[in-house]
Formats: sequence, structure tokens, C-alpha cells
Amino acid sequence: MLTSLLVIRSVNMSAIKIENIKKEYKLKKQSIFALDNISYDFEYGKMYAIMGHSGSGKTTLIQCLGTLDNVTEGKVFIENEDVFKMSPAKRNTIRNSKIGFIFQNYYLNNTMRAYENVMLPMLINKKFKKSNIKDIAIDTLKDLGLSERITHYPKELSGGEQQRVAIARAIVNNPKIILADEPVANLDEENEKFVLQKLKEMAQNGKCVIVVSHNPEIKKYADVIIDMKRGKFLDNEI
Amino acid sequence: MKFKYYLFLAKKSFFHKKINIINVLLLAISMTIIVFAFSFSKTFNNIIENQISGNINSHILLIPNHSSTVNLSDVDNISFLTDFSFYIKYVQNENDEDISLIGVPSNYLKISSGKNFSDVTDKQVMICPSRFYLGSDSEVYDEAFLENIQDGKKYVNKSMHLLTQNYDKEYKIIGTYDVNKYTYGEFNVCFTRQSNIVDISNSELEYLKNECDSEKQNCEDISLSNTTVVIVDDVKKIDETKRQIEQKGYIVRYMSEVDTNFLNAITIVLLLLTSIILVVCFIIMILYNNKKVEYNKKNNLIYKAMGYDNKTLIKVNYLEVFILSIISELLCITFCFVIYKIISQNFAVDIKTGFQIYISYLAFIVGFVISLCVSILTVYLSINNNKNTLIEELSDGEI
Ligand SMILES: Nc1ncnc2c1ncn2[C@@H]1O[C@H](COP(=O)(O)OP(=O)(O)OP(=O)(O)O)[C@@H](O)[C@H]1O
Ligand SMILES: [Mg+2]
Repeated sequence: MLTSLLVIRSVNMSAIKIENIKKEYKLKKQSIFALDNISYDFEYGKMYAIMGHSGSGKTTLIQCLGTLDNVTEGKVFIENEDVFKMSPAKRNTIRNSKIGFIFQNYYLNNTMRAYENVMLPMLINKKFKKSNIKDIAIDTLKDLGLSERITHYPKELSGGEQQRVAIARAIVNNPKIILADEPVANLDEENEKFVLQKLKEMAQNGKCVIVVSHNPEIKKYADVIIDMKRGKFLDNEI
Repeated sequence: MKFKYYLFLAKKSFFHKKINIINVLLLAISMTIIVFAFSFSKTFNNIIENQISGNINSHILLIPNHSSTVNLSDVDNISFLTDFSFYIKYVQNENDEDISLIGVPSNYLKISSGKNFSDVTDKQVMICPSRFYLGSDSEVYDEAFLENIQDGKKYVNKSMHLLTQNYDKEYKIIGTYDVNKYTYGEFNVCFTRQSNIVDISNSELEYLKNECDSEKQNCEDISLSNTTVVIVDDVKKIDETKRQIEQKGYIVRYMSEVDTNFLNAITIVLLLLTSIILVVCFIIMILYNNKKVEYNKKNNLIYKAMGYDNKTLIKVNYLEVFILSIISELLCITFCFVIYKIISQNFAVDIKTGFQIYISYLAFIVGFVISLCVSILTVYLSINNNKNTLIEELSDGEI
């Protein structure tokens, strides 16, 4: 009873809110607005699919939402806090404990075994100071069906397996926001289904999941579909 | 973050990179070159110190064949001057050779073996060179010449007859002093108490007087044609001292010539070489560290996406370069040991060459500190100056 109440509370809360954000890239002669005056409110408990042509500003948006990049104009709020008014240390803490990133090319650390990669976000998280982080990492990998691949190096894993390790790394700190940039672009159908299903489950468990993808398959999983064109959102929510 | 984790990250980042093998090798080689540049300078300085400055022959200027008292009170760089010096024949076994006898105050000489004048009460005692060369007039320092070099220590506690026309006394050799092993001086120079020189001088004068009397010549002006021995303090300034004495109208000769220009030139060349090597090593280290940090950049950005801050990343990188420097240092020590073995086996330290290598232990520390400083600087600059965002860094694919 109590848990469901908590879930309902967090579902109602705004995860990331953006207000009139612009991102300008100044080149030699012209300047490009990769994000052009966008306002939106991403909520907990929903899975968002961001679609659009190449160069429409999807990656830029994900980076700005995840505080990895500054915006030229406008405001970004995470849980109603203005991220650009925070200290860099606070932003780091938020990235570590509240946001999980998943990338198209996995970006695992090739010098580390699968479970060591998953341990990385826990090393700097105070929550895990007294826990056995190796066991937690191994359990997370087992949940993602990698119980046979725990001590493998990324090079010894298939693309789908690498992406699952990357997902384990993104969710091991139990962040409430998941930002995924083309997470299934390099995967076969079976792995694609697995990953999208996982992301959907996370949204159902109350997280805010934002996924960039070209793949029309995502429409089956997402709660909200946002089309981007030239740095703007086209309104066609389901 | 716990130190254990820093170590974990640094170790992981260090041991799986091929570029680190190159870096370790390069650092080790640079450090070895630094050690050898330093050691070579030190060896050479030691040669100058011990073999030239430490050799009394190099300090001596001679003012031969004058009859009046030499007044050098206003000449710089002189600490001792004696008017009594003789060429005396000594007889010892079958060898006989001219030696030069110089009177010195009892605590003037530094001895290398045996005793000094102040340690004994006997009057007729001498301190002779650690190496005599006997029975060869050769100008060429060939095998035959080298074979005629005698170890001066063999003569300690032995006696020799010193002969002049009117003087014949047994002198005991009580000790030896070190001589230049490279430039064999002009003379076998032995030192004795000043009072002995006065005695010899008087007996010589007496002999000359008797000669005059017997030949019924006009002997009003009998005096001994002396050689004045001037001992200078700083060998490197001996030329200037010689010039000052010559300005007073005396003829001055070196006891054993030291080419000070050559010495100074060599010192400057060595200094220059060492500095060039240092700068080159510095540049190589910066370039390679930079390359390595470039390599780390993407990794660091992924870490940032996970919430790592610059401070943590810098600390991890510092720890990594520290591991790197330590491994390079160990490798450098191994290199130096091997090279030292090879050199000392092929250029054995012996009496003939007198060659001895001095290893500069300071250089190991200097090399280590330099490599560490350069690494730390490049890490610091490259992490703090990396304004690129993840998009830009990741746009070209794989880490
Ligand atoms: N660092 C940069 N400097 C200049 N322009 C940039 C930079 N990064 C992105 N852009 C431009 O901003 C626009 C949006 O780029 P972004 O990477 O967000 O597109 P995208 O929608 O993710 O495309 P894709 O589907 O190909 O990944 C593009 O026109 C791109 O050329
Ligand atoms: Mg993109």
C-alpha cells in the first residue's frame, strides 16, 4: 500500500522540464540552432521516444537534458531545480545518482571486465560506501541475462551483450531518469526487443525514460512520441 | 572516493594500454640518458678535481735561475712560495733518476698513503709521488713507458741517498701524495722539511766557495742560482697568476702544464650537452604524455557522464603517471646497472688508465622528479583545458 502510494507520487512529479531552450553552434560563417526554442515537461513513469532525421538535434537534446552540455538560452530543471544554477559538484552528483546514460556505441571501458564496468558508477556514490559493490554489479548483470558473461572483457562480447552491460551500468545506481541515444541502432531484432522491453519496464516502474531512435519499432513501446525537425518539436503525441 | 578505488582505476587504465609500454620505455630511456649525462659530468669533474686540482704538480709555477730574492707579495692566488728547491740525484737499487726536492711547511701536503711530516720526528724524511717513472725519457706514453711506472707506495719506509757535489744523506720516504694519472708531470717531485733545503743549500754554497778558493778566482759574488717554487691556490686561475709574475720581470715556467682553456671548454660543452639532453627528454615526455592524455579524453568524458568530476579524474591520472614513473625508474635503474657493468668490464679500473666511472645517484632522483612533474603538468593541463563536450568527442566513434 505504502509503496504504491510512493510510486503514484513520483509519477506525478516532473522529472526534467525545459523552458525555451536554444542551442547555438557557431561555425565560421553561419550559426546553427541545433535546438530552437523548445519547452517541454518530461514526467516520471513515461517512456518518451524522440524521432527525427539525422541532424535534427536529437543527440544535442539528450546531452542538454543530461547536463553534459550547456544551453545557449533557456532553462533546464531536474526535479524542479535549475541545473545551470547548481554548483558543478551538485550537477555531478545528480548525473551520478539520478541519471543513467545509454549510448549507441556502448562506450564500455575496454580495459575492464563486464562487472568492473558496472561497478564504475558505484565507486563514487556515497550510498554504496558500505556495500559489496562487486556483488551488486554481478546481480545487476544476472538480471539482464548475462550470468555467463560476468568476467568477460567488452571485446569478448557481442554487440547485444555489450549494450546489456551498458544498461546494467546505467541503472546500477537506480537512477530515476534514463537517457538513451540510439540504444538499439547496432542491435539485431532479438536484442532490440529485449532492450526496448527493458526500457519500457523501467518506465512502468516509475522512471522517466527518454529514448532517441530512428527505429519505427519504438512506437510500439513508447508512451509519448516526439518528432524533431531542425531543432524543434513537432506536436504529435499519442 | 576510497583510495582503493583510485588505485583500481589507475591500475586498469595503466596496464591495458599499449601506448603505456612505449611511454614507459621512453621515460626509462630519457631517465637513463639523464643519469648518464650527469654521471659523465661528475666523472669528468672528478678527474679535474682529483687528477688536476688535487695534484700538487699542477699548482706549481717555477721561477728558475735567478739570484735575488723574489718579491711576490702583491700577486693573487698564491698561498706558498719557497726559495729552496734542488735537483738531486738519488740512488736506489739500480735505478737512479733526477728528482726535484721542494721544501714545504710540515702540514702543507695532502698525503695519499703513509705519514705526513708532522707525524714523525725524524729530520731527513721525504714525501714522494704515488707514481714514480723511472728509466724512460720517452715523450710517448707507450707500453714501455707505462711499464716503467712504479707504484710509489712500494717505496714508503724505504731510504734513498740524496747526492749533490757536497752532500750525501739518507732520506726516508714516509708517505706519498697523489699525482695526475693522465698528464705525467715533468719531474719526480719529492717534498721535504724546509730546514733540509737550508742545509743542502748551505753545503752547496760552501762547496762553491771552496772551489773558488782552490782556483784562486774572484769569488765575491758567490750565490746560488735558485729556482723559486710558487704554489697557487686555484689551478683554473694559474694562467692569470703566471701573467702577473711575468709582469714583474721574471721568467716563469709551469711544473706540469694544465690546459685551462681546454678544461673550461670541456666543462662548458658538458654542461651544454646535459642541458640539451634535459630539454630533449622534457619535450619527448610532454609529447608522449599529451598523446596518452588525448587517448584518455573520451574515457574521461564517459566517466563524466557517470558523474565523475575533474578532480577525481585528475587524481586517477596522477596515480597512473606515478605508477608509470615508478616502473620507468625501475627500468632505468636496470638499464644503468647493465650499462655500468658493460663499461666497467671493458674499461677496467686500473693503474694504467686510471679511469673510474662515478655514478650520479642524484640523477636518478632528478630524472624521476622531472618525469613526474612533466606527466602531472600534462595531465593537469589536458583535463582542465578540455572544453570539448561528449558529442564532439564521441562523434568519431569508438573509444
Ligand atoms: N560541436 C558541434 N559544432 C557544430 N555543430 C554541431 C556540433 N554538434 C552538432 N552540431 C550540429 O547540430 C545539429 C544537430 O546535431 P545532433 O548531433 O544533435 O543531430 P542528431 O539528431 O543526433 O543526428 P543523428 O541522427 O545523425 O545522430 C547538426 O546540424 C550538427 O551538424
Ligand atoms: Mg545523434
